[in-house]
Amino acid sequence: MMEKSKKYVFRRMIPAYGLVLFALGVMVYERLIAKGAAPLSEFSSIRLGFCGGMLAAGLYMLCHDLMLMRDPERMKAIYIADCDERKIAIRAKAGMPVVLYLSVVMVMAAVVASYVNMTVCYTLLIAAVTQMLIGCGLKLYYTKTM
Amino acid sequence: MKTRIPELRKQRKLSQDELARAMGVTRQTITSIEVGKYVASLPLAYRIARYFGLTIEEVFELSEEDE
Repeated sequence: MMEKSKKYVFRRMIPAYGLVLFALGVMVYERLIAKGAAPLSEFSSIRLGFCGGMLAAGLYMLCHDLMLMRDPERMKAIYIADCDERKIAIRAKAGMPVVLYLSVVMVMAAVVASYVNMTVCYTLLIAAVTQMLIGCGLKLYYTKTM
Repeated sequence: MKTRIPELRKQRKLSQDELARAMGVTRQTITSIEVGKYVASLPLAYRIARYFGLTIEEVFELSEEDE
């Protein structure tokens, strides 16, 4: 069980690393490489704001999981809570794993699209937020009924 | 799905939390199984039955709705 929970927490950290790297990449490009000359630079602050948020979220997730790894009891509790078969069934019914990852990818795509066309960027953001809200609503519904 | 888990727990003076911990699931899962909101997977049903030293048929029973 301990080995399994350690592996689980370690695997959980991979998307957070991806998020942090992406946000850092965009911020470094925006501030150090493009230096205000990036395409559609008038929206630079929006991009940086988004990336700042992503960076903060990614770092929080990483720190949380790194601290978890020091406490075997909490790590085991998190593993049981996350890998509980009823919770997995609820998440699957709400389409959660796919919706969650797709939404994050869409937000990343929106940041990239903001260099080309702001309409595409806003559309992607609205779609990502909408599908996340629907996913959360379904998850809440199935949590009550299952 | 009908279940004898509450009765078996009472006989052994076990709380839902203790059973959940022994099964490696959350307390809410045990509650949902007991009230019939959630049907346990075959491995979990097997583990619960084995924990009580019984067979799956002795712990779980198909209700008319399930058939």
